[in-house]
Amino acid sequence: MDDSEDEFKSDHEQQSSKGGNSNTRVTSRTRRKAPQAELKGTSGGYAWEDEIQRSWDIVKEDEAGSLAGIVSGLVESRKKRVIKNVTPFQRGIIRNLILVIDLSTVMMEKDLRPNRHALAVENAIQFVTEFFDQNPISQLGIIIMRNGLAQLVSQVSGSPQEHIDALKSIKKLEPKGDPSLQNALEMARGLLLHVASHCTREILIVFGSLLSIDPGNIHKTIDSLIEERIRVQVIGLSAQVSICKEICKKTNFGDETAYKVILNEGHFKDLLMEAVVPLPVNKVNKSFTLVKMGFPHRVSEETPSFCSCHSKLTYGGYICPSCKSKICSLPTICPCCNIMLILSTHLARSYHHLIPLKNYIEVAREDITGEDRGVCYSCQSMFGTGSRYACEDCSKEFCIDCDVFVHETLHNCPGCENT
Amino acid sequence: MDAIADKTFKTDANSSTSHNYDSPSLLTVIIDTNPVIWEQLEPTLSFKAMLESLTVSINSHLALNNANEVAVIANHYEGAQFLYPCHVSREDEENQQVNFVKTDMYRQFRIIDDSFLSQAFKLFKDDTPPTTQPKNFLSASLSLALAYINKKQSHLKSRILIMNVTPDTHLQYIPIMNSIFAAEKNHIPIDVAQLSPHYNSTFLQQASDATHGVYLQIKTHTALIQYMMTVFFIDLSIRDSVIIPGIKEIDFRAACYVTGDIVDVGFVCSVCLCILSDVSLVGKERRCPVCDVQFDVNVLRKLADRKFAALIGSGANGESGAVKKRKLINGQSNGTGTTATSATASPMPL
Ligand SMILES: [Zn+2]
Ligand SMILES: [Zn+2]
Ligand SMILES: [Zn+2]
Ligand SMILES: [Zn+2]
Ligand SMILES: [Zn+2]
Repeated sequence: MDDSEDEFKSDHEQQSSKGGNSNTRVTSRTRRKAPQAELKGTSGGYAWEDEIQRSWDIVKEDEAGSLAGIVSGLVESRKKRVIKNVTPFQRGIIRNLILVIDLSTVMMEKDLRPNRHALAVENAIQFVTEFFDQNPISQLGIIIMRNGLAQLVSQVSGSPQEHIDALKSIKKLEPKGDPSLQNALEMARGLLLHVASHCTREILIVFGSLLSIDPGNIHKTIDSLIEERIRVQVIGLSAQVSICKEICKKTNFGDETAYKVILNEGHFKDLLMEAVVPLPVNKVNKSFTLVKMGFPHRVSEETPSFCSCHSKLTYGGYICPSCKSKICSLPTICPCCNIMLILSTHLARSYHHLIPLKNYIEVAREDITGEDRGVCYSCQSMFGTGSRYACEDCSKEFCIDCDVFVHETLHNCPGCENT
Repeated sequence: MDAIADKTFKTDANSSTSHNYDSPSLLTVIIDTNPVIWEQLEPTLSFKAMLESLTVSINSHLALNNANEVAVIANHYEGAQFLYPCHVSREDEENQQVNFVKTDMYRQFRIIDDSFLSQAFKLFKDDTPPTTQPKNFLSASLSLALAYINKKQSHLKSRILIMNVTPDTHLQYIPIMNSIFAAEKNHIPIDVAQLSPHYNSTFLQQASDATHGVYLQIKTHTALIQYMMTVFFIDLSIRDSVIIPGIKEIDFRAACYVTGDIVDVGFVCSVCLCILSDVSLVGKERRCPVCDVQFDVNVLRKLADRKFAALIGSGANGESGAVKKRKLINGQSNGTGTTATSATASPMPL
């Protein structure tokens, strides 16, 4: 109940401060960005170590009664988090990932708002969307840990909608009992068993509990995971658990960074989004190969015919080039002849992982002369007092919004394209 | 309790506005200003006639809603640039005597029309026609348009209209694709008016298909304005209820990176995702011609025909060190050769 009251008050506060000279747009922006900054521990530590921060504390007018300075500050704080590693790696682009979500009683805790369970499911839905957006030729499956058991809620498949529907259904499921890491890992191992050697085998666990009730010796399970080259990543929601650390270290060739514990809500989402980017191919885990793929063509029909994937009557679809059966959606594996069917555009979607765009560098304030009131190269808006970012290659200058957009969504530098 | 709290945390700003049929929209037009092609089209459609039709359409878009906005970008042979909005220096503004539209026109129309027409006029006035084959800056135009829309999208629905005349050649595959994906992700439909009656653009067909836009090849140039008003200026909110022309079949087949052949079943490198038309293209050393990684011999043997399987089989067993590296990398490696570690001919690890 406190939360909704907060929201109301902060709205109210912004409304009244808006009375100055700031326009509606600034206000709406503030409201959008404020929660994010609020969630981030100001001391950079854990959320509970921070002073209590109310959303209205953040919004303060400057001397002129304007919110512009605050807004740009907030946007900038967000920007700090998107500087990514741009060294090109060989990455395992064709992924097979099992997402394991804790659904034990601890997930009812309200230290993450509204509670751990709701937030975890909400974030998982976003993760699935983003995962398939960036890894279109990959497969995903979802398992929950509840009542000491591992339950498969969504079969391994390449269709984001099925996973999202499954996640929405477990949103209503009440967390219960204790989790069992071993059961979940064994089930995930079973799902990943048949995966071809050129695909990655990954398990991503969202673990809220501090204990695991296992039926047998979990170390044996870890050994078999190592043998099968399954890499496990764990996102802890409460505190470090030794067994998780051990699992991650052993299955990631001694790399401990695969185990991370969240600091707050924002950090939780960041960690999940980090898992969207395909892992670099480890030296040990190398098996490169050619994969046979079909590039079907699309047809539209006057009269409906049955599709081979759902046995439903549809108008048109894609025709498998090797067996000529009709399929509803791509990418998929042909149900008749087992060949992987994709559009060439799906491959293109993964290219930016292989050739990342260089980060822009911030233009130092001293380099901006007082008279120079330039505009952002791509969106034509005036820079004003906000900071600007320059591309190293084409030396064009961009505003922060464009910088974020170019690096997070577009993956093209508008300036470099124009030379 | 949770249900109440849940609502507070809904951050999806779009969900509330998507059903508001009166919400303003932003129209971004990308005009292809390649002078060479326009000259070829001259007998049936002049650049001026196209601008006239476009101006009428833009005005009608502005008339639909007081808060509607437009942006115009020129895909010129020297680079993409904004025609409107455009920051003109004070001097330029004073020097400009030519009025492109009647001064007694509705003010809102006049300002925008005048600005973008004068910029377009400047493009052609300043430049001497190119002597070499002009480059196509479509990816730059799209990038600029998308970044502009991204900045505006918080309060406007947007769409892109491309008036295209130039053929696909010389287009960079990856940047174009990146732009298309960005548009798809931000739910920005890309409409394409292909004004040249002679060829279709595969890239733009894919662009409009992926983003649920309209692709239309306009062959009857005298009716250009009719096409614009009935097909391209249908508001986003009523697009679902209107039957708009579509393309029946799009070629989604892929081209082999080495031979350039169009294939419908190909072999894809699991590291760099390059497409090869035949397994034998990896050569005796089983290296990817683009990124140079070495492939697993067992998998290749399964994929390859008997002749080639025998070849790589013998390569793996005998002849160590002295195997000469066969250069397969040619000019078509399309820039995907990211991690190409220069491979020295080493004995096969088997
Ligand atoms: Zn089907
Ligand atoms: Zn088939
Ligand atoms: Zn900008
Ligand atoms: Zn650049
Ligand atoms: Zn390769």
